[in-house]
Amino acid sequence: MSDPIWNDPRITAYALGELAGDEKSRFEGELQADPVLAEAVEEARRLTDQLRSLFAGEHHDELDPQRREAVLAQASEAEVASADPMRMASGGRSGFWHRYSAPLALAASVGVIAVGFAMTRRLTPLGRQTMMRTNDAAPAPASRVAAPLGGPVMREQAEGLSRDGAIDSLGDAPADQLNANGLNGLHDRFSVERLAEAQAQAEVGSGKAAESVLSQREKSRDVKEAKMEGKVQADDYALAVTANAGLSKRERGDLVVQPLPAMPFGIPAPGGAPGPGKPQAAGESSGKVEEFRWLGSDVASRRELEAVRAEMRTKMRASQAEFDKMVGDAPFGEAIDEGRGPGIPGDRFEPITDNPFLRVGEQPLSTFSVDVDTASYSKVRDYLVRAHELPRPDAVRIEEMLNYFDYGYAPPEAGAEHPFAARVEIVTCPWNVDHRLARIALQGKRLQAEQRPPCNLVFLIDTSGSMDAPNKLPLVQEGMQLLLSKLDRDDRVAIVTYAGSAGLVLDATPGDESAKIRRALTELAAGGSTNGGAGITLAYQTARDHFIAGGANRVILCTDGDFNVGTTGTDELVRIVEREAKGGVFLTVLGFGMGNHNDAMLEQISGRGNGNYAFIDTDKEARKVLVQQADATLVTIAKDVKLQIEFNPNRVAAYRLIGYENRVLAKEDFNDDKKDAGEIGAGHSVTALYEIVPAGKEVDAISPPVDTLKYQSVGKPNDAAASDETMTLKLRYKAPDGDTSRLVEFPVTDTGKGFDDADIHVRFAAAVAGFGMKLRSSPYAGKWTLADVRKTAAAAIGDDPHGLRAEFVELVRAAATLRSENE
Amino acid sequence: MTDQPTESWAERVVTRFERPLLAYACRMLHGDRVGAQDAVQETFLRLCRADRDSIEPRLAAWLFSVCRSRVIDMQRTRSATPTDPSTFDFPDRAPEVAQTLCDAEERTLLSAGVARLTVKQQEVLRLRLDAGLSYREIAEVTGMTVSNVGFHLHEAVCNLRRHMTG
Repeated sequence: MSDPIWNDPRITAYALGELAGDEKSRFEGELQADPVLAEAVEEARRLTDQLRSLFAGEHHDELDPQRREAVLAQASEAEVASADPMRMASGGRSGFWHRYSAPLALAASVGVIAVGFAMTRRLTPLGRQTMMRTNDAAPAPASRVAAPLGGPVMREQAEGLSRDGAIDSLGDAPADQLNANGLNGLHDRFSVERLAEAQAQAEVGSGKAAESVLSQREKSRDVKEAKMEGKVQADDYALAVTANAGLSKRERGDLVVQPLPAMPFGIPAPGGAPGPGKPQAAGESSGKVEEFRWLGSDVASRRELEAVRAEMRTKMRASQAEFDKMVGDAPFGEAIDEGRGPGIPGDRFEPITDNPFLRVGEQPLSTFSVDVDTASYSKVRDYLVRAHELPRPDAVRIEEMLNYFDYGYAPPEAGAEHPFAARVEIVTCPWNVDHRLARIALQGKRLQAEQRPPCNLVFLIDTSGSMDAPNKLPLVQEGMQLLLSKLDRDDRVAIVTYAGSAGLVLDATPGDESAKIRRALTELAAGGSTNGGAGITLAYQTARDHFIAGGANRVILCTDGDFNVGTTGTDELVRIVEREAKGGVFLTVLGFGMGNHNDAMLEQISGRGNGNYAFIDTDKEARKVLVQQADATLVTIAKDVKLQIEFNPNRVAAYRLIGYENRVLAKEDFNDDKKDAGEIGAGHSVTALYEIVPAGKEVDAISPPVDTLKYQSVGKPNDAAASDETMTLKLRYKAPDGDTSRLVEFPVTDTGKGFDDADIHVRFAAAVAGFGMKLRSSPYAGKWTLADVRKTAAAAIGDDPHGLRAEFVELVRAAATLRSENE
Repeated sequence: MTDQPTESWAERVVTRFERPLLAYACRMLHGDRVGAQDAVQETFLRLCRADRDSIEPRLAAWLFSVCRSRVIDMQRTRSATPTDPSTFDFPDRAPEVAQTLCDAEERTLLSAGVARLTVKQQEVLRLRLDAGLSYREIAEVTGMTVSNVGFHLHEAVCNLRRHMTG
């Protein structure tokens, strides 16, 4: 039934009254002349009328009453907020971002941003998850979010930015909505950075700001109470910003700081009974905050403020724990011990799944790439020490924690055939005495000062706005000054910055012209957003222009994270980095700061760029990476280093590689020289641990074995299996400038050593792995508690020249406190 | 700022739009009522935070546009965490028998016809005939051109006509 007359979309348009002006009158003329067309219009009109009533008949759903209330509450909230003089003072809604740079004047408005942001973080996950849990109970997700303090516009913006891909969805929204959000176009996802930037000021200003905002708004309330609440909430901003929960269960626990706010913090509701929790705690803390108002950029006071905030956080946590107990309900009660790690929504970690136990009968080969990165450990430390939060499990990479420490492995002898020495030691597994623990140790050769080849270094420094924090750009500058002291006139240093645009700040300069380099360094200033792509291209180009044949040619990327503006996604960057690595320019990534840290990408690009990745959280760490380990950081002695272990089925029933989850290779990759793997720098050491289930022991941690094959027999032990060898370690590596790999192979025998007989380094490594497993809440940690970890580590400190092991013991203690696991 | 108290304005907006928005979101989310509630609540919350004066003149388009973004956003995350509708225990608010359409049989036929339309056609149809948006507003909401909207709508009408008569 295809009436040609129906091919005219004007029929529907006219029936719906969408035609206007000339078009309308012309069409009406045609209608008069053509009764068939008129009939069609009549039919379309009838049909659309029917549809209208059909759709109207479907209107049986209305908004749930709780949701409706939440919306209306928000509406009256917004009304008050828009009448708020503080917001007017900041120049209206869209002007926020561009003006907060005058911190003192705008401390108040930053406070609004801050609190709004804190609230926002909860909105998204809460919505759905609570719903799913509460079933027929009142589904009122967002009603909790109807924040009393939310700066509406900021919140909207923060929220838009907090979700990946949300920009796209905003893109569907009307243009002026976007403008109202202060988003400069769809691509400016880096406003997140500006938020982070605002954080520093908010930290100092929030107490005051929130106070003033509150006293404006909470007229009906006792002023003192209002003050107290304001402080607590403002501080919670820091919690929310430093504690990127995103997906973690704990998030829901944050309910405490939501509008039932008075309760958990024990601020008595007006005229009501005191809430649960610790009333004194909040009172005390806010009293202290009082003393630390805006004090300029005085670092000391900032630190003190930080200390007070840490203290408050601990107290808040305590009261939250109590509150959770009181509530006792699963959605809010659990996950006290689940690390959520700090960070703002920019912090991205690849999820990690623990390597499982594998049966030797089914998978006799275990293959992985070495990894000398240490970033995860410094990040864990940063979380525990600075943010007083457990790290998110996905931020914990056990191999990087292991490799952070120096285990005193003997380097290969001078003139040895291979550039590194490998050893294996097998002892009783401390967290499961039925199992054995094999430690594999590689130690790269060390360089004498005169052996170090000349270096051609290009520092690629992120100077975007987010780097303007005491633990970022200043730390970069400090670190580089340290490194300069190691360089001489054969070395070359260039500096490329990237922010809104990339620029060559210092062209290649001999290492002994330190005054010139220093000047360039000190002139670096943060501002703008990040164009990582363009920066990387320019840096590599500079490195190639001054390529030193036979030397160490390296781009050192100093950044806090994202590459969102300009070139591209991870893949494109990885390709660039990979291509350049083949051309002999390697990449080192130094991560700085806590927020906005795109961990997964940094790890990936440094891995592909034949480089290493370290996270620098303190000047001490800068010294470790750039001075003590300068050679290792700068000079690669072996690349594409792969390990393959073949287990003897007569000796081993099953095994598990601890850590290295994202470094596991297919067994075929081992002999494939085209497959990229990790690098070892001069003096680097690599430690890997296997938990081994001896033959004859039941393997309860894994699924039952598959049935034996019907048509073929595999895995029959041969004569060699009759030996007492536990395993054979095979190693492949390439020379830094080579393309073909060399194979090293040697058997390992278990001498039955007990854990207590092992040397301190083995015991310490076991403690580090145990700590990692506990932080990851790994089911494989056996009976070990954090207390066991601490005892083991404390008994294995040894010389500890730089205090790193003692610091580790303290970290374990801190983690135990956070989990309320202290004995 | 007008002197009209906001509360009653918000209330009026909610009352006026909750049903069509929910119906629209629910359809877009393949019948996920809870999801639709989430999206619509979020839409209204955003409305409260937005600048009312600039939205007022094209309120419907704004609401549907925000709601649509929310729904698309939810669909994007949906694949990662599939939700099982059977885990929800919600009162079934059965539709009242539609009084408006006398011929129940024809209504069923029409409803089946709508279900057979493409997603895009269903969407523009609903936005025009249920939400009452103009072609221009639909274009704004969906990102299509105005003439494309007209084309899709007309296609929908043609298909339905064929379905009803054929």
